[in-house]
Amino acid sequence: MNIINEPDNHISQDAVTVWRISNSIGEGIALIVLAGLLWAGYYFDWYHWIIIVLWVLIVLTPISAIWSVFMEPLLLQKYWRYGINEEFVQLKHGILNEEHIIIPMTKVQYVEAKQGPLLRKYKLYTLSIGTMQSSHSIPALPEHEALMLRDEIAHKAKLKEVD
Amino acid sequence: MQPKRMHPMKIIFSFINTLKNSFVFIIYLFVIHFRDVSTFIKLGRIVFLAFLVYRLVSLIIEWWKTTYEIKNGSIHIYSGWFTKTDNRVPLDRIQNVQLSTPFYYRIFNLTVLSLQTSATDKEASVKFEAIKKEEAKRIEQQLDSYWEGNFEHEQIVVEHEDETKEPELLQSSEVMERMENTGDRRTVHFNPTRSDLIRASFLSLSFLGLIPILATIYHEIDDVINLDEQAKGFLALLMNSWLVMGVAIVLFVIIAIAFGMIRTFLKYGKYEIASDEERIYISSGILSEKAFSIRKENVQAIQMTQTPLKKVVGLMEIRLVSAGSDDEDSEEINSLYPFLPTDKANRLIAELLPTFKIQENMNKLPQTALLMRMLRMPWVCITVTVLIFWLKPNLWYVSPILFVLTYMGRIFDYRNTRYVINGEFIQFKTGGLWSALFLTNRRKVIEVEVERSILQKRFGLASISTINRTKPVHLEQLKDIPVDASRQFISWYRDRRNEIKVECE
Repeated sequence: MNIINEPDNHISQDAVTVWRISNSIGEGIALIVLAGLLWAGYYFDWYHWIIIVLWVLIVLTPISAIWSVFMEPLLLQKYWRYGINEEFVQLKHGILNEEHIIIPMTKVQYVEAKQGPLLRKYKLYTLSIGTMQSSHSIPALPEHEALMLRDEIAHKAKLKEVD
Repeated sequence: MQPKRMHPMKIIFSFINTLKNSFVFIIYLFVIHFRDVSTFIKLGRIVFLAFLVYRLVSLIIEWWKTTYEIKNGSIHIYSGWFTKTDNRVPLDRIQNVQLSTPFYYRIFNLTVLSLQTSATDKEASVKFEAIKKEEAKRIEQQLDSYWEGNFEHEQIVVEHEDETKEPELLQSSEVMERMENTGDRRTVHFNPTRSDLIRASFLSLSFLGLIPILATIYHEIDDVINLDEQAKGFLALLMNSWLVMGVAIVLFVIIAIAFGMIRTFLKYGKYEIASDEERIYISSGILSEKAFSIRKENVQAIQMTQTPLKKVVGLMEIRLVSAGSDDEDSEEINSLYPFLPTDKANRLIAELLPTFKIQENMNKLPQTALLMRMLRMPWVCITVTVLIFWLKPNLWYVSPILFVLTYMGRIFDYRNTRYVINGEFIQFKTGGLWSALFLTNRRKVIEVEVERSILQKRFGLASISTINRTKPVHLEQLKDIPVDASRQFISWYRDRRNEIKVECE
């Protein structure tokens, strides 16, 4: 049995801020939509149970906001690891539910660096790695690292298995 | 070679299909409202007829404009009138070949040939919707010669492996086997016997298939003439006398069994599993024929499944998991034979796929896995319970039954789950009453994942999954193995690098 080198590269510290902002926006939108629906419910006299469900959701939103704005980004960033070597791409993340994914380099079909407006502000990229069947991403990598990693994976993924 | 067209019968078959699909409209416009002379119905009829004419014309044009040819190692399908498309599929991408011949195609000596590739988009599979059987054979042969020309070196390796293993196995299986000297060197491994078929027809419970058909017929007739009154009278008559009712039930059961047997015989009657060095051939069907062939190299994994009923009588189903299995109906043909006796099944795998080795002794799950399973939230049960108490409180007893069944299922599953890593292979056995054995080679696995929830961490457990390259993705998961085994799993997978041959694109 050979020793397993666990992936040990971290993602950017700024990821926490980015996720906090984007999750706040998300929760805000959810709250607005729910409020709108509730108003419509009262105005158009929807079924009583719909109104109850809407109230429950509205009460739950701030609770989920506490989790997704204050706690989740910290944990996510703290426990995200990735690693690449000649043969494999490894991703490991999550603390409550830890996932460890191993993709052979030869099975990588494409690699793509993306950024939205928020990531751009912090000069970050999300790297998606696609195989025949699935796509995985490494979120929030610093620009320099992301582009280097993209090129590196693209170069190594050039090799194909003959079977 | 000149680009060729499909057989012109394709137009007629497609047109009949259109008629079949618009059955509801026809009934509505021409039967139910037969005497109706309102403008709406008239307009409806005109629009419908116009649609039929349009459909016929477009089918003719489509047929006229669709041609195919094989050149430079690819199949080209040209189609389209205004926008022309050239769908090019390289021959070396083709994984499986499937011939399916509905019985009305046989009258015209036609068949449907589909060549399946592993790519996920729709263009990736080529379907010749109506071609002469000889033409299909010719295309297949071209494919074969392409393989032979291009992959000579690889085949030698495979053949060599086969030679060392086949002879002794051939001796061990006498009855089922005979050599077919029809030009190619196919060995027939399995033909169901009559008793196999009778068992199968009971097991498949296919006679239950009669019930929805009867119900549909009843409804159809009921729409036209009001049957309900008469049916009520009929039912009253049945209820009046136990004798009449008994006779009716016996009659129904006899009809149902006969129906099920006929269906099974038609479907599995002329079943044959054969192979040569490179490929496995499965052909079936008496009225509508189906033939499927897959290269042994392309078999990604084997799955052996058993339903509770099959377990009782010692039958099982073997499925070949391959990259090209996409069609709705190919799922069925990928199954080697749904009612194989267990001992025959193991021998069949040894004969067909000598590289796959099934390990008998497998590891059990640790006891903490049972605890873990009992602690998982039964979300389905909870949801159902909430819904029942909210909507139909008088059905409260469903909830405890569901809970008991769920937890019993978990215990069964725990007791029956097994796993083993054996050389290049990994083997999972999961499921309680419905059980499935899965066997794959690490070279065919394109991704692995190890997952641990916070509870699993506390118990020192992990869940592992493998992904095979199929359509849709074949994900096989094994829950709650010891952490050490999951580490071993990762290093097992990493060792695939020693086996793969790599070349630069």
